[in-house]
Amino acid sequence: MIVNNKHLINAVEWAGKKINSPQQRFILGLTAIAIQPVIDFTNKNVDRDTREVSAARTSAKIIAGTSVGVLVRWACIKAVNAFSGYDIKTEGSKVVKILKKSKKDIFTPTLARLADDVTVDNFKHLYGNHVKNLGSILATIVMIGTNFLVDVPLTVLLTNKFTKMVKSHDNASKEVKNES
Amino acid sequence: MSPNLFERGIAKAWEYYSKDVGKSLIHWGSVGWVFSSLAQVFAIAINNNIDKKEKKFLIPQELADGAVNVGLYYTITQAIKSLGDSLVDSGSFIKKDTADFLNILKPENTGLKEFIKTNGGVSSIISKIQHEKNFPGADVSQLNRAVSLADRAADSFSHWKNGVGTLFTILASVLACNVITPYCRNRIASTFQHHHIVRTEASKPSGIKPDFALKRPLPSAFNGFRI
Repeated sequence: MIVNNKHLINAVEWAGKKINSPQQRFILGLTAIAIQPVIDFTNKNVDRDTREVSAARTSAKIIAGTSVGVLVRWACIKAVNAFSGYDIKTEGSKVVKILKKSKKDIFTPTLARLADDVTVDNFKHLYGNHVKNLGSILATIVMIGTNFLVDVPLTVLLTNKFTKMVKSHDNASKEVKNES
Repeated sequence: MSPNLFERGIAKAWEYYSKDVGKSLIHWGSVGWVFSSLAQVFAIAINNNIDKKEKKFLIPQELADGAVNVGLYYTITQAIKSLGDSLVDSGSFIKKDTADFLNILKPENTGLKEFIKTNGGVSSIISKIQHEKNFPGADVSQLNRAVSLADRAADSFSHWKNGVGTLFTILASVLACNVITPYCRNRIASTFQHHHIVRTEASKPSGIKPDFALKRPLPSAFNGFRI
């Protein structure tokens, strides 16, 4: 299939330039909250009480995980961006070396071996990818800590809240049934 | 001064991931899921508001979720992204300007897909022109035109391939994490709970056994009684 539709081309290339781990995490979270609690609640292999707690916990986990995940990734990409200023050395149109702009630029890849197809025209785009990817890697390391310190307490808090909501709704339904 | 591990790591990150955002999403997404799953198991274990019976289901569910999540995330996203990459590289899903560039070098009586396949894929053809400034079978005018457009063609193709790879990775991760994994983990975890319930029922005593001996024998008149 040879694609000539400008809108489709722009959309696909936009995805490659703009979407990285925070956006991916957000999309995963949004689709997860729409799908996963329903799957858990309709799981007939376990009893009703377990299904309700499972669905409540899944919802809590998704909300906690997505909020923290998106925030940490976004913050880490910002941090890497702030410490990855660069200058470049060129030979004609080819970029042959990346240099730090200042001493604080610890994330600048000065030792990277640059392929022949890295040019002055495409360098900014490649460097943008590098900053986002490195930010995502840093976020993964940071999340080893935040998973336990933030995700877990937030998940527990939300699970208890949602479980109480489900149980009180059940009790209210039972009362209505008894009265009728 | 020899480069330290940190600087070498930064350089490797550039070399592996700067041209392929999808690859980074797959690899580091998988690592992230491992730690996220361990944290969630911990969350269930320390939550005093979930009773023991429910924990016996939820902890195995979370461990199964983690194992299945990571395994399926990696295999499904890798497979679907590879499919996207091969569709692009084989010329099955390319932009018109890439096709126009390839047509400069393509022999007249050959189909475009056949030409791409014979020459190792779109990336290989563009790379040959860009780096070697040469192409087997091309005449001088074809070669000169292709060489002058090679850098722009390479950029354009790279943007398109990167975009397709990213989109395929996103779609694959939604499928893996939100549809296939919950179904699989529920089946696995409910099996855990069922076995736990069966073991618990089996270990309960089945009725009261009279397990005593008389310290003093009964008078003979009671010998007729049997317990």
